[in-house]
Amino acid sequence: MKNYLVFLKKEFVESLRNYKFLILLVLFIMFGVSNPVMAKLLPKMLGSMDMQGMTIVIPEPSALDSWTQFYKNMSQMQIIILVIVFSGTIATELSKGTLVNILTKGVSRTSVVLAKFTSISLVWTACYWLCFGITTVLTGILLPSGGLTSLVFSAFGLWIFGIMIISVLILFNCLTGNIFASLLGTGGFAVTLSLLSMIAKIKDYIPTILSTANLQIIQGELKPMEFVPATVIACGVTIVSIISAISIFRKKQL
Amino acid sequence: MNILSINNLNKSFGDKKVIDNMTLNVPEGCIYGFLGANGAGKTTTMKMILGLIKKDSGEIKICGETVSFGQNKTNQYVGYLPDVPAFYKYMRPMEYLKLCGELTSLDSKTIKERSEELLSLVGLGKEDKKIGSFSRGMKQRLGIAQALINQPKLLICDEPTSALDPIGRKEILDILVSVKGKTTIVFSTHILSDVEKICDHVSVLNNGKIVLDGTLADLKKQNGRHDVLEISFISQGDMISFFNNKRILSIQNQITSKDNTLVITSNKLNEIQKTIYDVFISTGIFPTKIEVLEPTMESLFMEVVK
Repeated sequence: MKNYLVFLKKEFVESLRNYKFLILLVLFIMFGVSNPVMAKLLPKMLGSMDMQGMTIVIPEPSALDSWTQFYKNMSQMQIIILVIVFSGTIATELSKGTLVNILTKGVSRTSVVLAKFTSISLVWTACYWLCFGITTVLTGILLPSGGLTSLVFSAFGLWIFGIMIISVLILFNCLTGNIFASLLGTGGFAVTLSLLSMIAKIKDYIPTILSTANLQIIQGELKPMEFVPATVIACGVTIVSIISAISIFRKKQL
Repeated sequence: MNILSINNLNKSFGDKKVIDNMTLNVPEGCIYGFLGANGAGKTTTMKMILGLIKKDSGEIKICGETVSFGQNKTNQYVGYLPDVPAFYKYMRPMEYLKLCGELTSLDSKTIKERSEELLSLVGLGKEDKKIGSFSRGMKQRLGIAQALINQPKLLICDEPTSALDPIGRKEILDILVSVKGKTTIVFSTHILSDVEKICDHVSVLNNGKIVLDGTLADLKKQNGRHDVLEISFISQGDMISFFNNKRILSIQNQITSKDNTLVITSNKLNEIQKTIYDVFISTGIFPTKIEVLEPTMESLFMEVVK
């Protein structure tokens, strides 16, 4: 337990010193600001363009446009950036040999895997909710609310989805010990999930819904309860991934 | 007491047998030289001792406790210096030692004291650069410091001197000698002169087997049956006339020559020397140098790995 905390501290120092945390923080703040601002400005920009006599009817922007931006950016860009930034979290330490000194000090391999998972999850959590907070505040200031509900709950779904993706990344890191194979594996996992979610019978249980149906939740088209099965599955996948990652890593020859 | 004992250890990678029924005992307090050509299985053995790779069969005990793969419990007694130690580039030496100290559950006061002590021991006392900018020799020295932070009973060094220049090598060897007494050192190498300089116990690994094992003094005695006498002359002419003397010709099958030098190998060196000095007097040809060669680690090594 003590070693876990020491190693976790090392992970944070590392994220700070090699600017990974800073880069993600700045990016997520920028996205947080741009979501409502773009929603507000885009119609005006379109309106100011010379359409050579064509008339386009542009509806007044609302909070929904801002949240559309938020979920589009978060699920299609920000999660991917997070995965790329931390793609070699264990693989790089294995290939460089930096873990050898640590493990020969008597640190358990379980602590290493858990500390890695915790630190990336905390970075994701901090950046995610900061981005969410900024978008919420600026949307409130700039745009009419338009009667949206369950904003936090809907965002919670995508956050869980992110945690699950991190656990899968850790699993592929332990399994392959290679950055590119880990990226490929994690990407492949996400693609497989979204293919599965096309099957109508099971789509409510596939965690992909947590990253695609968020707008329907806030518009009230889907009840928050509809997220529950997929949330449970996502948590299950996370736990299974981490347990498998630990047991694979413990058997790894270094 | 043996601090490290290995019994009937076996390891194969695929079809290739890397370690073949190895048995080895390291007594407490010595500097143990673990010799072998590149690829002999030295690193594999060390990694099995540290539980980093899995053994096929056999038993490894450190301080009486059995080493098991994937678990790092026995590593609390061990300090390990890998052949190319890798560090977190963004840390400074003090920070790295602090991390290592915390991971071995030392309190912060002890960590600070010991870090300062160790850094000055390895000659990095004034370095406050990030480790990323360190030279190979500096990393090797920091590697020793991190391995010693928890005052291990056993220090395992994997070819600590192989990649260094002569000055760097000497510095590393000096550091190892200076910690002798506080800790037992097992140190692998293929540089024979390093072993001769600092080790008091040696084993030679060849094709996965221990082919030679014992204290350095014993080994030299045992294998020193063939004493070697080297005689240098001022010119080749002198050498040839000396060689063509009747009494020298009678022992010619024990003689090899090179340039102006004759090398005589014999197990009755006293008699040979008597003959030779007689011939010096009778012919009036005198050498520029005459020397009885001690059996070197190199000759022992070449003999056993043949």
